[in-house]
Amino acid sequence: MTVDLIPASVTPRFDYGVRLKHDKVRERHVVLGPEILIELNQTGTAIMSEIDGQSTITDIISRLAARFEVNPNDITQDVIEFCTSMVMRQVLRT
Amino acid sequence: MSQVTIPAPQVLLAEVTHRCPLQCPYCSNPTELIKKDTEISTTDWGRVFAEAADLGVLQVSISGGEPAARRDLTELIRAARDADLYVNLITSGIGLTQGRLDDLVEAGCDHIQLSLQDVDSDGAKLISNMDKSLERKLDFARWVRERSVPLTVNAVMHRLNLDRLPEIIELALELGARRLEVANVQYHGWAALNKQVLMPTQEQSSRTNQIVAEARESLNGRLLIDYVPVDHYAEYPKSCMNGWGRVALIVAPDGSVLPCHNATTLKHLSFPNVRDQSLTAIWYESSAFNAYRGDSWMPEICRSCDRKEIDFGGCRCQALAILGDASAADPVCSRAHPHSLVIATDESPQAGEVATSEQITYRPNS
Repeated sequence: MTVDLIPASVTPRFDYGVRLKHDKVRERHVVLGPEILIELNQTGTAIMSEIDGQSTITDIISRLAARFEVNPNDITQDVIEFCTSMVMRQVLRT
Repeated sequence: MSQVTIPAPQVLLAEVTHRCPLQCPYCSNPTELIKKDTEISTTDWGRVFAEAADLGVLQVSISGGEPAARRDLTELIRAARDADLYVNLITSGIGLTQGRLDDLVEAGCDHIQLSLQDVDSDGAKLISNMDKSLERKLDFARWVRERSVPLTVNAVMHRLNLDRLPEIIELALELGARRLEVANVQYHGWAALNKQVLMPTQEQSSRTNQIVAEARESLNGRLLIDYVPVDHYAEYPKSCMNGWGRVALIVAPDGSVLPCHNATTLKHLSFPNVRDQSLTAIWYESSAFNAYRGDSWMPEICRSCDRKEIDFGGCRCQALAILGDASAADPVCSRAHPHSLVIATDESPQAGEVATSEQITYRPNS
């Protein structure tokens, strides 16, 4: 199945019935939704915590770059691929 | 044996009642239905949800029977949300008015999964044993979408409706569902009693694999399809419940706690009850939950098999039902059993066979 990456200009938001939750028992963040239970690693948690329904992916990349003191170009591909995979799984919508 | 590390459970299936307005002959409830007068109370369920969340459960599926048969369904949903659980409601859609649906949504119902018997009205009646059940479900699906609650359609598939799978996929799209579960009947309990009528042909089973694969490709991004193939035509066992006591637990209407829907058929085990013990003690310490964890219970052919971390030995209830030994290798497994044990030649279904209600053993409403 070929996957088209979403453009960085879009504004991702949580899809219907999806939310981020801190799992206190396992000390991690998870995404919960309809038949969805996704364990997030640190990178996934950092990206998902920036999803506010207002910011574009470009905005999110700049904030993450500032926060982790990296060059935005170095993380652009990873953030776009991650957000695309979340859209495919109906976790995010654009 | 190596020490078994017991992971915390993630999913609770709360079977709040076995009562149901429908009489589907493949019902996942046990053949010995639990009666209304032994159902646990609203307060008991509230405690179960809180204990489950403390134990590590993240999602609860409130199911039945038909959960709407409980008058306190709104309170149950609210209690589950108060415990910070993600709440799925698994319903037939029968018995819920628009007003009551408003209450459930307001109480925090996150997602609704609606069962669908057929896309054909007569087919739906033959399975549910209720007039106009399809029409009522279509109304209900519309009400759910009008409230922006995510909707999953659960289509239970068998010989009598598999040929209409393309129309069922179309209907799920029309109803605004974002997910469709194409779930072949699991032949335990009631379904085992109706295997002659419901078991698909091998040809239907293969065609279904193909239809699902094509639909997943063409509907990519519009409709996610979860697929449960026909267990009996598979080469390897299903990963039943993702492994005994590994991910999920079921609390039955009377408060007994089970590792799978049909566990009560394993008469050599005694299942603990939330009225007597905490969920934590039951999950980690009860002999029932520890019975089929790890690999020490497995026959040698499973213990040395490279798939034991994939299917965890398959289904114990099926091993008991077909082989008379709950610790035997799953009868489906082609490595353990080179000749098919699950479909005897004298009961091989024939294509195009039709069924009448007289041939069906319906489950009673209560």
